[in-house]
Amino acid sequence: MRDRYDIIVIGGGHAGVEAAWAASSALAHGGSRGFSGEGRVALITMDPARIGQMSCNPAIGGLGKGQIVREIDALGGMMGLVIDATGIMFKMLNTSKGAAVHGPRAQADKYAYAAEVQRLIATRSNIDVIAGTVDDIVVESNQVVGVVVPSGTGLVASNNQQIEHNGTNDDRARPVYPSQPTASARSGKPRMLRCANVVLTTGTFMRGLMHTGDTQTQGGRVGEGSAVGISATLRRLGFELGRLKTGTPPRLAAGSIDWDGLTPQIGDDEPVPFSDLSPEQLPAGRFPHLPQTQCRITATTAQAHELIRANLHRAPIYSGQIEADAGPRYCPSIEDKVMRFPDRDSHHVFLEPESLHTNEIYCNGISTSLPIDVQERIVRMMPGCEKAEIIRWGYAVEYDMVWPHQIDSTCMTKSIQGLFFAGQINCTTGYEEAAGQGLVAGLNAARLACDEEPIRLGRDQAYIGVMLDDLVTKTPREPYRMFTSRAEHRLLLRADNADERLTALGRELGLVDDRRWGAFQRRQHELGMIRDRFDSTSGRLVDGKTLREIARRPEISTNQITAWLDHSFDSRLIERVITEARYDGYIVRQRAEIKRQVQAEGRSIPAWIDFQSILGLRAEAAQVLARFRPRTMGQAARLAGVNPADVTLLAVAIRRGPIASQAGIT
Amino acid sequence: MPGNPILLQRVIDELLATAQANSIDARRAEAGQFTARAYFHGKMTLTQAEGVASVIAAQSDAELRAARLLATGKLGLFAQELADELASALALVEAGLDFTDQEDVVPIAPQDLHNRLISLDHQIVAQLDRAIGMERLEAIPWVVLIGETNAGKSTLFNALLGTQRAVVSQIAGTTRDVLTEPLQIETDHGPAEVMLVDLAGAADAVDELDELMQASARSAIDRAELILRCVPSAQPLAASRAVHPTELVLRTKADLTSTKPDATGLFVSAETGEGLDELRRIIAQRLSDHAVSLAADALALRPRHEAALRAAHSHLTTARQSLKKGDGSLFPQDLRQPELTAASMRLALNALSQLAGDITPDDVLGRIFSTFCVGK
Repeated sequence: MRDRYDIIVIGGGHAGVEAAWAASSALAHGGSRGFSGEGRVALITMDPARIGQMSCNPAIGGLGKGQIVREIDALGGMMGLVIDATGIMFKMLNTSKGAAVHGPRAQADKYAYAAEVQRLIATRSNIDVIAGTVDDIVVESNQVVGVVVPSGTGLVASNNQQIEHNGTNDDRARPVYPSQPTASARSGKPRMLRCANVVLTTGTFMRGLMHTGDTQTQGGRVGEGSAVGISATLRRLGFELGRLKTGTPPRLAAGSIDWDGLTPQIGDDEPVPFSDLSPEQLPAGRFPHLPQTQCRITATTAQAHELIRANLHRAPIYSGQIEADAGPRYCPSIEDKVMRFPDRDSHHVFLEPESLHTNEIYCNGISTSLPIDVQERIVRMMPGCEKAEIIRWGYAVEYDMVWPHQIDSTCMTKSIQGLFFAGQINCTTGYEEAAGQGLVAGLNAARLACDEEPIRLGRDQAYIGVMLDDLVTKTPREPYRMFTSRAEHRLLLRADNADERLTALGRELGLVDDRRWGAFQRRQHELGMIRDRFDSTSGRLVDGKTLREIARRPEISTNQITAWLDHSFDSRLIERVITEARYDGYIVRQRAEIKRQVQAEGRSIPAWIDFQSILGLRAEAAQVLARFRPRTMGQAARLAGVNPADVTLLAVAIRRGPIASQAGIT
Repeated sequence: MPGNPILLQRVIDELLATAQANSIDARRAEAGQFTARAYFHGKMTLTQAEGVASVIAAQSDAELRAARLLATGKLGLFAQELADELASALALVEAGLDFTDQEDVVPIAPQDLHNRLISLDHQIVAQLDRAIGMERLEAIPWVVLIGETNAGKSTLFNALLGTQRAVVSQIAGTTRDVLTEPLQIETDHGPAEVMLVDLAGAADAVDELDELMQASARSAIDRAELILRCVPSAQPLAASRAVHPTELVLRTKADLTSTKPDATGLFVSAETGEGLDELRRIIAQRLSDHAVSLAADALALRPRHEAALRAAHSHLTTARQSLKKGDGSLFPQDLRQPELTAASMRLALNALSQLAGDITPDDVLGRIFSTFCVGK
């Protein structure tokens, strides 16, 4: 363990690992100009063996989320690489519809997934993995200077034998990192680690409290502790905290389920990888890398719903035992579903294997906080599960978060220079949402350490940009999950073109390595050829029209177009150009009409501005601006309660300059 | 066209339509934008900044006031209903995009959606057809109610319209604004419309706001075809006062006095309805040549509102087209390109939101969550 790091990432979940990964790339690119002189990152986590763990659903991607994974990949992140190496059922959702709403999704072997994350982290020589908790974040003059770790904290090393073993895939993948540092690596007394910037990713661990019936256990995840000190630290630093709840379903033993009568759910015949580097990045260049499996569907029964209603007083979510402000509406517990939709006497339950090598089955659809005797009966009333054994009980968990208007869309907090938040701490939910923020936080922490301008992704550039902009301009009423309908530029923000939207930017920022850049350029070349052919009027025309004009007709198939091209091209690239032809007119129209587009979108609002004393500003607008403290004119314009005239007044106040404005004289 | 705001609006409309047709990015300036721009470009000095701010703030206030009036007016309510229906339809389309992996979600069928969109579009087109443009409003004869404070003008205004449009109380000077509302009358040529105008109490201006009111009152009187001078029945008519040829004297609150000091004018009572039919007949008689014949539920549209409705209509037309094959028949069963249909519906919703208030993506998601059981 060193005394100083450029970036300290706290938390080893999906936000934390992307943050460490992006920071590691960007620091290396920055030429070690940073604080430590070596461009070093520390990843501090309670249990390094659980880095990259899938705490809930063993799946990556989905509608809106899949696009985020593609964006992470286009920016050189790790999530796409990992799921391609560890996916056990790949399925592209919404294929009957247009490319803008295709959502790649995959079930993962959760042990293989975590192990692959750890293996990748171990490939980065400038990342130190440290086992321990963080007791305090040290701030001087509103600037982060370091963190305090208790005695016993220490560096852990990756285990190469384990990596080799996991490569065989003969058995359950095992962690690459140990849970604890060796005795000699442990620090004897509490220490302060100095650093330029901190990325804090607390997940559900900040004052995490789990509920199963009236049984309450402190911790953010089964068998793990909770982080208590950090809540107090954040309060002391002046942050406004909130409390959220979420839940997870019971896990069943595969061998105790009667699978025969249950409808299977299978993956795609020709699965499409998430990463632009697959299949080449995978061992033996084979995708999918792991053997593929299937899920099965069962359902809750009317009898079970009766039982739930009769035991509602024992569900912490209903009994008032949980004090959280909100839980996600799109991820309701089974008790929520039964109460909100009393007409339905059955709900689907998806039985999803969590690994190729263990017997754990995830019961997707019955997340619950009910006591274990009720859980057992609900499960055993489901067809095929009459004799099911429950390996792990479902539970609800409540945890602290920080209201996200306190961060900028760079992920840095507005009040403390050098302090970044990513993931559930920002009132979001989902591995993908967390990972996207982690990437932005890690990147910007590294840029700040190297004295470079922060990066904000635009709403017309990436779903990650939509998410961060939503977080900093709206007050979320529940944990934020991505949906494609949140993106007004949905036709533009597609899974298929993530590389064209982001890879050149990623290259400039040092996130995209030579291998990815080379593959990108080859695709660009091929796309250029296809596009030329589409627009060509000199070559063969169909009905006297260019291919682009022909392709606009929805009834024309990809195969027909392919036949008209007189050269063989990658079919996914052909489809991309067809999609462009079909969407083009709409995209132009949308761009022209999207409301409240601000010309000075990216112009920053200086820190000296005092919103309350801006001449002529309405009281309501002043209040909203003072609460959100927007950092760009675009953010200000998108706040509810701020109208275009208010934005103009703000611009006038900025122009007048600090002294005149503060003194209230002209 | 100096001094003619209607003509100016028409020119702006024409420019915007031309710009749009040629894919040029053009829009109406926001409140105070030009003032701000002059300032940013150094055409005004730093010392004038305070003035700049107050100009912008004043224009913004005027727009906000107009928006508030709109929201509670007929047009606002009409747009809110439409926006609500459209948002519900959009929620059904979006549910089929964002929640297809959910057990409960049944995507909306092209025929069902087409019917909903047709119905919405018909309502919009019908209103556009029936609505009176501002330039036609200019041609409508104005019937202006004047009289001392608390002479019963607003009560009469409401009684004639059969609504509670004006705020009425027993406290003198409650009506502080110039109120205008189309009034239906029966002429020899059938139903027609005049603009009924209620002025703020004609007492001397006591503050700055009143002074502004008096100015607009004077200009309304100047252009009135018929002036209804309201004098309470119990109050003697000032004998010296000359009666203008376009003026009709109304003796209001006729029900409150049994002894009448004089018999000049038409005695009316908003309370009992006394004299109101006769008043309508006189108005019709005097103005029947000028009155504009109209359908009963016509709306007065300002060019900006009209442009918003036209935009909504255009986007709904595109949305409907996206449900059809090349031969014009609907796709069976499922929407073929639901993301394109949704894109057009979203633009139509944005256009309506200029009249109805914002409907955000989160509102649409909320409708999905309350309609379907989503979430695994």
